Amino acid sequence: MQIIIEEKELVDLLTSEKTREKGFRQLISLYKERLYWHIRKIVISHDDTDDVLQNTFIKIFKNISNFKGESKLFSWMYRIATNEAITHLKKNAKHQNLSCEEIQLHAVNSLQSDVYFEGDEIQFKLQQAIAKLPQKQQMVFNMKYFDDIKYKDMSEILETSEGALKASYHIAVKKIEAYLTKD
Amino acid sequence: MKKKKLHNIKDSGFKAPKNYFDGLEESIMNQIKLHEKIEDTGFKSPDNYFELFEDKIIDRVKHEPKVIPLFNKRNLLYASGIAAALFIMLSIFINNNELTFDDLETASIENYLNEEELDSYEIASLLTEEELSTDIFIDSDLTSESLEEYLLQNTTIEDLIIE
Repeated sequence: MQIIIEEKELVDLLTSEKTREKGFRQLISLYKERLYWHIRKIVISHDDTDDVLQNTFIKIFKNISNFKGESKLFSWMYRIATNEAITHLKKNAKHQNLSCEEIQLHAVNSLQSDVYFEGDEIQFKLQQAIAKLPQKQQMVFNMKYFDDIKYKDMSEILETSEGALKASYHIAVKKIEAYLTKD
Repeated sequence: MKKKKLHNIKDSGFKAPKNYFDGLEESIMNQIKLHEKIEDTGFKSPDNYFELFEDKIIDRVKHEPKVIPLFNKRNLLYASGIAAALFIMLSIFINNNELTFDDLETASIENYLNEEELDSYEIASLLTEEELSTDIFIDSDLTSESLEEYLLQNTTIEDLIIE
């Protein structure tokens, strides 16, 4: 309930030119962390995440007048963040002449030497397991398992039916559990 | 009566998806096992990263050069509207050429004269004094051959018989 009231106030601040900067600062403050971790799980490294997160907020700022309130504000922003992250992956893949999966696996495999990864062996294995899933399934898993996003909201963000998302999640969990228990 | 009817209903009418229960146990177990092993991703962000982030973005937003696209749809429509108006104005004011008789082909003039059925008096009224000097007839190079040919082609024997 709290968040919904805040959203309405935010949108009002953002719509009027006089209060736009104030509203935008509030927006950044409220959502920077959630969006950061969402993006980070897709692009893996901190530096790439920083790039994508900045681009995401710039894009949000430029398009805030296009936000028509047909979905929740945060779903709209998450969608932008997701698209920016995927675009970033594709761009890297093209530059290095690899596929998106290869790029991600590459990034995951260098996690153990990454100063911004402090996971143990099993957390490392988990990242490997996730990187082997199809892109959408990865996002469904991350959003449900780590961020605890409701299927209803996930459905707005990923533009997929709740039923399909639930099925996708169960498959992802099964595959990951199998990967972690082998050896 | 009521009790008897209720007694006859054994089934709630609800249905579960096919194979739902087969996968359910496994799914729940998998989730439990996973949660036992892992709570978070292991990723971490640099110190002060989030504290400094907000100002970084506001700076960027303020200092990004505003690119005004020249060729968006609205501008193109305005531009073509103006171009069309200019074109029409110019074509009206510059086109001073009036039609002269030189523009007409001789054949069109001949066709007009034939169709109008002008008699010789009307044509004669158009001729001026200078044009009508008898010199034209005296100095002509009319040979008897061409005269003969003309008479053969343009007249019939009846026309030549003077009553």
